[in-house]
Amino acid sequence: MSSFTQKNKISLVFVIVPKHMRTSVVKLINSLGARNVVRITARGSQVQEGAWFTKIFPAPSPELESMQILVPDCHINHFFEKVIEVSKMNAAGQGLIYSIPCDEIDHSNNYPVWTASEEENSINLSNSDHSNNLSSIMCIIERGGADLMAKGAIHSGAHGPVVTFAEGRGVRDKIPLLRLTKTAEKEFVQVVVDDTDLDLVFSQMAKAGRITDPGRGFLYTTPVNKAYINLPGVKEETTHTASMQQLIAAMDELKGNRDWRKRENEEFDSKDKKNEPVFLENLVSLTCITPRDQSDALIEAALEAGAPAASVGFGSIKDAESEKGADRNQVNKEWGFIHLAIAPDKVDFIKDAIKKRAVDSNISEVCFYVIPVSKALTYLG
Amino acid sequence: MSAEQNYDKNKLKLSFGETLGILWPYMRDKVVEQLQCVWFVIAYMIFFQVFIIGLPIVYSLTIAIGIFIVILGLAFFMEGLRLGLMPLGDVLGSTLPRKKILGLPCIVSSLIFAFVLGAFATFAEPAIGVLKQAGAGVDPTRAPLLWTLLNTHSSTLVNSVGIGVGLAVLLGVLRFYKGWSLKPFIVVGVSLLTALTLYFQLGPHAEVLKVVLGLAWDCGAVTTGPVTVPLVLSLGIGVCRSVSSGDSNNMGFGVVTLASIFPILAVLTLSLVLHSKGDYYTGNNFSAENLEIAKIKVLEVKAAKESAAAQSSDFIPVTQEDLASYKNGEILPDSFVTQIKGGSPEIIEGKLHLKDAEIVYLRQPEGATAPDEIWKPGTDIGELFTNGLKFEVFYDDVTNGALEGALWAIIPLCTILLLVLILGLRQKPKYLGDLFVGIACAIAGMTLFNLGIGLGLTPLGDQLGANIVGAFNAIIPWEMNGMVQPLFNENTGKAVAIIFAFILGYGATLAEPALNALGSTVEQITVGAFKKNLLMQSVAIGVACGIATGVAKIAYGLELWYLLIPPYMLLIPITLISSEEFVNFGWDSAGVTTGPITVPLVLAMGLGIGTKTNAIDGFGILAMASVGPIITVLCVGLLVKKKPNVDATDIVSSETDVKEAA
Repeated sequence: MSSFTQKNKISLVFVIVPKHMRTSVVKLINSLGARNVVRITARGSQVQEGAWFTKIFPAPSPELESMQILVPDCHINHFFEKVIEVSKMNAAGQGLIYSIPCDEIDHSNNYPVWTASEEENSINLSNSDHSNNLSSIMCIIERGGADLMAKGAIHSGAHGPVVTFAEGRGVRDKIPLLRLTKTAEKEFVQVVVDDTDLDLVFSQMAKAGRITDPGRGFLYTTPVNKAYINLPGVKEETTHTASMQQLIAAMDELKGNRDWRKRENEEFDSKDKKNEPVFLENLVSLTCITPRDQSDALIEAALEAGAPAASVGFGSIKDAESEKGADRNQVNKEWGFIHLAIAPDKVDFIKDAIKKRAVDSNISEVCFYVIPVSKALTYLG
Repeated sequence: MSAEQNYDKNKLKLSFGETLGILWPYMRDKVVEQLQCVWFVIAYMIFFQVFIIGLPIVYSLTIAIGIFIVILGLAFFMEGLRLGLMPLGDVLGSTLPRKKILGLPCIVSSLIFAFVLGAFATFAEPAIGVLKQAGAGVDPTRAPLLWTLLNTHSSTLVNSVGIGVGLAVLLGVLRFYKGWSLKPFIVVGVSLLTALTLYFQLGPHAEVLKVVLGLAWDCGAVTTGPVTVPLVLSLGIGVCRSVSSGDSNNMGFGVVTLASIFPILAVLTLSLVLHSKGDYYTGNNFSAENLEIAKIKVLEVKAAKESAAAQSSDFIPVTQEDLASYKNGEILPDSFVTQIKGGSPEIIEGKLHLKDAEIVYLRQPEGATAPDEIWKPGTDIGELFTNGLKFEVFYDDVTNGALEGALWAIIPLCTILLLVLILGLRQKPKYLGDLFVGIACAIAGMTLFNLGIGLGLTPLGDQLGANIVGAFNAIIPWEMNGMVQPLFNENTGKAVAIIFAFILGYGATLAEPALNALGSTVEQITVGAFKKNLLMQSVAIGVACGIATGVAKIAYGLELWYLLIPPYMLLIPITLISSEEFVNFGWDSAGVTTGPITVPLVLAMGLGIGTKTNAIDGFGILAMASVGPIITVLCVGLLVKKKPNVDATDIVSSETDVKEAA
């Protein structure tokens, strides 16, 4: 039966590239040794400038591909360099790559992880201590809310957030047949910001997305180790000689720092002190990756074990092996990844419950990772 | 297993009040959503009839109730698509490439299944009813081959269209497996169609063949209905999710495009075959029994024409009372016009005199009176609802009740899909209960929808269609007594009719359920990058242009090929330079635009104008409504296209320093 292996010193890396780059980037990542690239179709967000017809016919948002890879910390630097090089992120490319430190990773033995040459004994060049100056803001929100949040984020200076689709689970599934009347469709928003901007962007996003409305969504931040951001937030008229981003970068260089970009967070500071949002602290985010067909059983287990709610996104894994397969008509395997936000002391209990269900239902490919949550905001009763 | 039961116990028990509390806002939202789609076109039609044409709405109560039922039906049907039909297509599509049926390789079984599905969809949503309606007034002596196709050989027509759609779905699915682009299919298909059309129009047998063109092109527009489109779309998406290698841009679209091109080819081929065999009215090999039917029809058409001519006489007889009051020296009312007949002109003292001329006073009809009933007499909801489960399924859906139409459109297709899924692929759908609720919703929705169309939309469309002619021609308004004079002179009137058609086409398209489904699917599959609204608005404007052109064709008696060939020729280069996504969306939307809302509203107008301008048939409008949206969607695609990245070395981008921990 499946047994679980625990690993440390692994980071969760998000690589987000334009759709037309995806094939070459996946190939590269596989050649670097990853066997677990989860690919999800994503869209970028841009605020549009332009003529009247852009109001009636909104331009399509950039089509992106979001990939999640678990990378051992010792490979991180090399991995970043290579991906940035191949995806031309440093030039005009639009893309985003960042890594989040994972506290711990459990995976069943059948789950494809980094290839065997684990290089436990190689010199650990990487940075195990976390930087404090970058954070990622993530949000699960009702379908349709992501655009509002994106606008809030962009107007407060962030890059264009990346949006993927997900499904929410929780109370809805406990309603008998009437659950059909509630859509489970959610959007998952992610954006990486400088810590100087974090509070402003966070509060602007919370406000724009009305995150404190009941049942609206869940907004949280996690620390980021390393990031490379090149996603425009504004769709500009091509007549400008320099983009707003280039201007900002030039000013950064002139000033020698980014402090000039810090703005006062008036919204939450000045008015209604009474209604100041209560942030949730001391939470972690537990993610469980499993084949899509089996994700429901594990969600049930997690909910039974006391997780308040779950959201599940779907993507496909194309590992190095299937790439080699000569069969032209190979089929993609679909994966679901279940996000749970829970208190740290509950992690082990819920994990055990999911593991038990996985063993019971004969699910051989499961992987867990836990990432810290700095603060979170949602509707609280 | 124990855990499973344990979970079931966790299910919430809802009180009646809570149930209502969940259901009520849900239902309200769904109805409001449909109301937002439909209100514009309805309000516009009523406004036009009352304020522009200046006539009251006849049978207003029937129409109002019908429209209410349509909205209710749409709300149910769209939920049925979301919960039942689309998940079913999707799960089947994503399972087909993984498992074998009866030991056949996946690709073979998928292709066989695709063919069966396509062919069956044609029989399930028979477009032949619509086409027969458009060709109702066809005179066998003027258009022998067209008449033959629509009457004595209508079963052959449906069969060949079915084979055409089957082949189209087969090729569409094969395309997904192989990761082929849609563009070559379009270029080859359109070139072939153009060549055939030119042959029909200008070839040696043009006089017999060219009248079929309208039917053939319209066939392409109407074959894909509101049940087939979502099923085929979701099936394609499922297949693509499983087999797409990531290199191609195939996302599951494009089948509908092929399913629009192939039926045209099928009908044109069938016409050629019948023509070469001489198996048509006035042909050499037309069978005797069919000849009898044709002869009866010829007489009928003749009689209908005569009675129409008698009806549309331009004046009202003057009565004895009129004569008496005239003799009393009273002035004649304004409705009298003077006609001078005969006489010999000569010049007397520099003036032209007519000697011995006869002066005739004619009384022109003035004003029309609407019937008092607000409920259309003879309308029995029960009868419209069901005809006692007698299925008139195969070649004539006109007599089907609303319920039978819905059952026939949905049950067989869903049964095939479920059988293949459960017995063939041995895959039990995860939420079988949800699926059945969805399918039930779809059937209920379709039934209400059909009923509402019969009660509300058809009379409203017929009414407007007949009355819009009044803009440029004297008419007896629909179901009224009396006659009204043209509102404008001929050219202004026709222009008004064309503008009317434009706005009508725009509004009706926004309400089309298949297009709404396509729009949501596009939004879903691109993770919201392409907004539903972008597609809907571009398509609606395209349809509006197309329908306006189609009405102009009928009003001015233009030849269809003048209007069809240039746009399609234009489309080939546009298609080649457009992005693969927009090509897929644009061409697919062409197939879905002409659905159950547009057709009754638009066709009636085409027929109404056609009878006044002495057109052979009412065909062509739907074909035009099909080509319009392709052009607009592709153009919008080119307009909003992101500029390709400038040479990467030129720009040193900003904010790009790798941030690292110290």
